[in-house]
Amino acid sequence: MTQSSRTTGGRRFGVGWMLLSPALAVYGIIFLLPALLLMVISFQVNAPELYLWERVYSPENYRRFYTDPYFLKVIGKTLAYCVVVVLATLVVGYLLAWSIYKARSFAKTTLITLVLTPLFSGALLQSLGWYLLLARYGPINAGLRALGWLDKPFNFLGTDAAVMIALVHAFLPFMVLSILNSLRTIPANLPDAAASLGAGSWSAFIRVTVPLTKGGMIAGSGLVFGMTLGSFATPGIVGQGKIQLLAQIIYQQAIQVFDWPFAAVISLNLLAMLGMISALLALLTRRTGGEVR
Amino acid sequence: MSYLVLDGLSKTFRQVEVLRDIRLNVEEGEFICLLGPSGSGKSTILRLIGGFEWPDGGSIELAGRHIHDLPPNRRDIGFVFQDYALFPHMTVEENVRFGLAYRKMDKAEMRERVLSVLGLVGLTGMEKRYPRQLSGGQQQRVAIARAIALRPTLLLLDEPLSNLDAKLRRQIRLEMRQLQRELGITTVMVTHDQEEAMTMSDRIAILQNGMIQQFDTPLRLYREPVNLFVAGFIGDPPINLQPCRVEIADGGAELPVWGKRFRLDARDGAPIGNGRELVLGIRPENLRVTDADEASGSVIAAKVEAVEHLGGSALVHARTTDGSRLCAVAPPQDVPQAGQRIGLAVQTDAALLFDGNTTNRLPELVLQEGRPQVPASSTGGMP
Repeated sequence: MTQSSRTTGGRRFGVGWMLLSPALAVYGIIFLLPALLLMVISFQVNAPELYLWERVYSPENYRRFYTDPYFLKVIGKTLAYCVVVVLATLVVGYLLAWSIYKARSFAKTTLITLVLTPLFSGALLQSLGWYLLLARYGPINAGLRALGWLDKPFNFLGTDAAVMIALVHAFLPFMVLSILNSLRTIPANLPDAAASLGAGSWSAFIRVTVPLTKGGMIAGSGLVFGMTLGSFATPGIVGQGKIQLLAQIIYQQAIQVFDWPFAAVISLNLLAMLGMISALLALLTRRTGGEVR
Repeated sequence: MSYLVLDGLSKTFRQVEVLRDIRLNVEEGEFICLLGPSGSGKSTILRLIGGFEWPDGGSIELAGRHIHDLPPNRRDIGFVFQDYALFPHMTVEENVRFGLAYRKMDKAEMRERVLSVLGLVGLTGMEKRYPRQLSGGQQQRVAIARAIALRPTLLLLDEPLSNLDAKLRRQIRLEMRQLQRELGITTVMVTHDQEEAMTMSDRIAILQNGMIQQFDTPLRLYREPVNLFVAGFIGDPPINLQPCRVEIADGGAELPVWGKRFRLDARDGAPIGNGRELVLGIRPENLRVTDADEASGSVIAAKVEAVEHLGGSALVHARTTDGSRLCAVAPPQDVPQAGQRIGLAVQTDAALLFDGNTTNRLPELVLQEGRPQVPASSTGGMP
């Protein structure tokens, strides 16, 4: 009895893998193979005139990356960008999600549409929008000068603040949608229950609503963190080349310097950071007892 | 002055009048039920008292304090929701302790209060569990514990038992009533289950279309309903109702109904009125199954159509000679067969008479036995 069930179980297991194999093949070709290739290349001594398989292997690229203070500074700066952008989208995104959650039908649809628009326009268009707004003779400069807060035109482009604002704007929809989704799963009478037990609306929000939206906040933060880490076009355009984040460095090394092995090292480091953040967030989610949705 | 006073409460949602001039006086320590079909406005009354809705008019007074303009968190009212509304991210203990944070209490005092309340509802040892790890009945107990931990001036229960299975409901019903008596906490419960209301309440307010039809003890609601709605709503199996018309004969007023002519008396010489339209109501347990040939002034001839055996008794569905349907309760040892001809003895002093137009009960009219010699006939003979 047990033996026969075990054999069928075993057969099913095999069948399962066979059924999965197309998906596995796609995964292998699209994700695993390039990642492996990246790893192999990262250990090669750069020699553009040689084929990949003719090159010499050495850990030199890694040594260079981890000892050069410039690259360490870029990593630090990129991580700092991630933290600031995540925190800013978290605060603004929560406010937006909350107002959408509380809005009535027509206002709700309108607000959701407005929040989603950046998603449809693409990074280039958004960045150009900010470029125009923040430029030396753009409307923001004109406005600030009209108010008397600025004596002469100031070029906001190329500043950290400008890039961060543009990034927050670009990634806000992901945060809003994540938080809104978990707000919606909160039973409507929980705030009433909190009130009947003596909680004011702020206290009820902090003690009931916020903990129950932890899942959405974590998911949104993970998305925004990853996207900031890999952001390329926005820092490039709004930063006018003055802001160097990891993605820009990778581009430089791969396309301008033509040092693929070194670009591979940076890419792998970026991937590793992303992996660590994902693991951390997964851990956070589990910590909350798993009842977050 | 009563403990809880609802005075002329009204509420309109999107031009629909949900409540109209609700007046209710509840004494301290009473257990009150708001009973009515869905849409009768009973939950809205509860939410108005709790502070989750604002009345369009009228006032609410609790323990000598006007509370209708206070936010819910300042009303000092415990609320148990239909789906319990437990905080899923908190343990049982944290749920029960939630409201204590707003009282001036130290940690040890809080813990002691939480444990004693959990002991009251029989959940000792469950402190560290999360709501999702509890059964429906246990969740319900946590909800009650959480509400009474604050020792509120009033406890509101919104259909607290409707999500439980029948057996558990019966048990918790008793426990809840006992707990309420022990704590002496004034309680208002909303329910659509009349059995629940009848067994638990000191008094019941029957609601229909946003108005209180009658507010009375369970027994008086049953025996002396003010109108047709209350008579029909209370009682299971439902009361037998029969529209009929008064005929004044030489001997006095008569009521031809169910193939029989009953006499009709009026107390204190109240007028009866020829041709007046009435509704005669008789509860199934006030109809006794007898032999078909029993010739008495109160026995109706009928033919059994169906019998429902309930174990302790049986429901006999019969059709009278004039084609009306009647339901009677028969003791289990004496149940007739379907198709059998029987007599149904009407306990005339238990019969209820209602005005056919206003639907109000007419307590001044009394049903009397008819003349036994009149043969059963649907048309009857005018003198």
